[in-house]
Amino acid sequence: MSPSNSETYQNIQDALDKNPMLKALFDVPFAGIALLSEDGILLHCNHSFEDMLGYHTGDLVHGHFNKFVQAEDWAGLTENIPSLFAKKTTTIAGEIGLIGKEAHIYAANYQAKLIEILPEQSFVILYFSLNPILNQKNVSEKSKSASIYETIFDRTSEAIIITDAKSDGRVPDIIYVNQAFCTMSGYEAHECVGNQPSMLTGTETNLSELIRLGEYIKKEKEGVFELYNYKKDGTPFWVQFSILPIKNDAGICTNWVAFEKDITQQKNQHAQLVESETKFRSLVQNSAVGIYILDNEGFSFVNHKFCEITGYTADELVKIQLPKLIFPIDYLMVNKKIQDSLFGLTPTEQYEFRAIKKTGEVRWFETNGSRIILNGNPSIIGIISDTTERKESEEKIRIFSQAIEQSAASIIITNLASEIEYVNPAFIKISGYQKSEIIGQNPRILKTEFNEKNAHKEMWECLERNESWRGVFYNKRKNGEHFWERVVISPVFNAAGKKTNYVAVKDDITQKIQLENEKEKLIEELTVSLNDLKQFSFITSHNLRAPVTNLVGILDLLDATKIQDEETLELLEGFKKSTIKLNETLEDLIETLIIKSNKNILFKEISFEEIFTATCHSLAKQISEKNTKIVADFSEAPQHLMIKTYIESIFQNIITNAIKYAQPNLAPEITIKSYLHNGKVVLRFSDNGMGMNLEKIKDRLFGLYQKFHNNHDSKGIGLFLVKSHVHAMNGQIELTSKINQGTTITITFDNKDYA
Amino acid sequence: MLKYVMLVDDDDVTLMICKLRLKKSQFCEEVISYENGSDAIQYFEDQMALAPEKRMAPELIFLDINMPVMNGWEFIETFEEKYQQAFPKTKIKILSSSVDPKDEERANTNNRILGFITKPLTNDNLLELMKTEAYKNNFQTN
Repeated sequence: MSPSNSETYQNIQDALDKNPMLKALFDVPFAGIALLSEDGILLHCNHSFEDMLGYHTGDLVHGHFNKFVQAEDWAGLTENIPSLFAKKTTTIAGEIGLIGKEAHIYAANYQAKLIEILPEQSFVILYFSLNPILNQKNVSEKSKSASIYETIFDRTSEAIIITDAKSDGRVPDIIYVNQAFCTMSGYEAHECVGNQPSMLTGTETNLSELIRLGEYIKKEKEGVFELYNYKKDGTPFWVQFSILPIKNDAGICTNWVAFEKDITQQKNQHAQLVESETKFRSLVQNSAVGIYILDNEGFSFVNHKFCEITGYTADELVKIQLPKLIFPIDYLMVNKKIQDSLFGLTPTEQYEFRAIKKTGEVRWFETNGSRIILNGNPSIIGIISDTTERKESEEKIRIFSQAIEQSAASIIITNLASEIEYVNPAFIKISGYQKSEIIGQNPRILKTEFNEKNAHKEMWECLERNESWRGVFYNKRKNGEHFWERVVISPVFNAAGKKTNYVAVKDDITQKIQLENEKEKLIEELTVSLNDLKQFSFITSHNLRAPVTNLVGILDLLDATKIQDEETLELLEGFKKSTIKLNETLEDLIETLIIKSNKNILFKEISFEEIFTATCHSLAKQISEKNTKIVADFSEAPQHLMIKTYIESIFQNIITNAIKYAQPNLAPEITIKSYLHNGKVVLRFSDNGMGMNLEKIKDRLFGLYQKFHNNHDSKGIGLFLVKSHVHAMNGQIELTSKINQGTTITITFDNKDYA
Repeated sequence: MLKYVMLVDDDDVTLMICKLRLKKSQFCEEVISYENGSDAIQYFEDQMALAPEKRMAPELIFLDINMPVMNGWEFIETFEEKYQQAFPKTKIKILSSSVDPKDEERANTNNRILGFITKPLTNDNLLELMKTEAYKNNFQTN
């Protein structure tokens, strides 16, 4: 009924191959394990068992197990096996003598249990461990077996630690380490034995992993761990190890074995990789330019800067349709470039286009991308930047440089060491130097010894204070000719506020200075002449006046009644007329001179009515003689700040003129009115007199000694005096007139406060 | 009519005319004349040498301004400084052909000066002068 042994053997092999857990159980390196059928046939054993008995791996194949057991022990082993199958006991244990290769006897402890490896088929599993005491006694044979283990263990490159096991999960003690472990840790084997594996831990050992390890030990589970440990000399190293509990027949964990591997290098490589990946990532993310990866589906990656310059979030950009991002006019161009690039038709290309930000704002972008294959897809990895400001400033620079190039003022730009970096064409024209001669030179090559002593010092002080300096230089051209320049020198700052250059803007004002000098000289000369002339006038009028007044005095004293001779009387009459005329003319001239040289006579609030009444009084004779009708109305502006003698003279002269130049057969009518116009006091005199043809006399109207009528007692000084008086009171005078229709004189007074 | 009038003017024709005018207008009984300020000062200096009761104090001086040696203003200053107390009743009338308005202003600031007449001296001028309050107060109170 039961399958043949060979079939069973095969089934067990299959089961072991399929079940790694089971295989691991058999692969425990130093517990010898043998699997027996119910009738004592060896179905499987592990390498350790083979080693234990001095065989090579694979030496033992199935056969009856009794040939490996001393005959006297066989019955003891087999008599209890039926009770295992009958489930009366779970474990049987005992001591046994095993027969190894070349009939060596090994004393071993064993545990036997039932194990159900195949469905509904139970087998006996035997765990053997060599009894150290008995084998000690039997040194010749046992030590050989031990040395074989050690030889094997010590040859493996894997570090191995074997510990005992503590029942309550406490840290076990090391009972064995192999050569590889000693090489790895730097400890000698005897330094380790009796110690705990935790001897390798140190300050920076990863605690969480230690805790996990503790959990596994408590639960007697196998597992893989990585610890940051320390060698004997203190060098830290990463160790990866797997632990395996070894249990005795009673299922009690008796030992732990750990296989260890130094993974420091691996670890470091990984850390470096992670680090460089992180660095690269952060570099890309925090790059000052936008970085993107684009494939046929759209963006697969965008960095922070890209988001910032477009105003979209990374999530939005990954989902965005390109036509939404690119300005319609530029879209076809951009799309073609992307397609060409994706197909590998064009190499790396740089181009500009307009993009629409999330805010709707249109900006100029510049991009430069190259084709890569990413996850099997052709993609473009590129950088992008907002060049709007650069474009704008380029445009500005273009305009500015045009302006500078075409400026009529000469412009020099120097560096902070005063070396000329740029001059404009106007400079070349004015200075006579060629560009090649002047670049790199100091502007002081234009300097002459004639400048004001402190001008340059002041200029430098100003520039040191980061202020502009204005001044005038007397410089010389290349040909040695001197010229005047009006100069503004300013420091230039870069965007960071650091002074980088000086710029000088200079106007050639030589001609202007010459003209000004000439003008000043002329004014000086004229002032002297004028003063001389004034002095002369005073002296003349005074010197003339004395004899003239004497003549008047003599005439006053002459008694005509005493003269009998008719002719003498007639001559005397002519003498008298001429003298009076001479005196009057002289009086007028003097009065004019006084007005001209005395501008600061006291202003007072004066009533027009008062002046008018006084004038009528003094002119009473003339007024009544010609039946003159005068209508005066000063109600709108009764008074003003004036100089009394001047306003008296104005009334006197204008009324006198109106009477004098009345139309021959018409009684003179004079209307006088004062009023406010635009906040100013206006005084208007209108008459119905002869009037004048203003077209003809225009410029001479208010001139001195201009006579417009052949009237016998006209002296031509009246209007001149009126104008002088009005101007002396800061007023304006206007005259309108028509022949035979009369004359209107309008005087507008200034509002100034003369108090 | 005043008793004693002094004329100070550098122009001899003016002096001649004035004397005639004063006489014709019966303005005063006696006229004394000098051609400049310092000669006129010398007169007062000479008078000071006499006993007070013998001194001849002019009641009015017609004084020109623009004169050589000592002009009218310098004369007034010297007079006020030295002879004012000895000749308290002597008044001054400026008689000038001066065209400087400052002279007229200055004449009005001094009590001793009865005012300013612009040359020539005429009968009308004298009549007007005699009508002024200043003239009446000074010469007709007693």
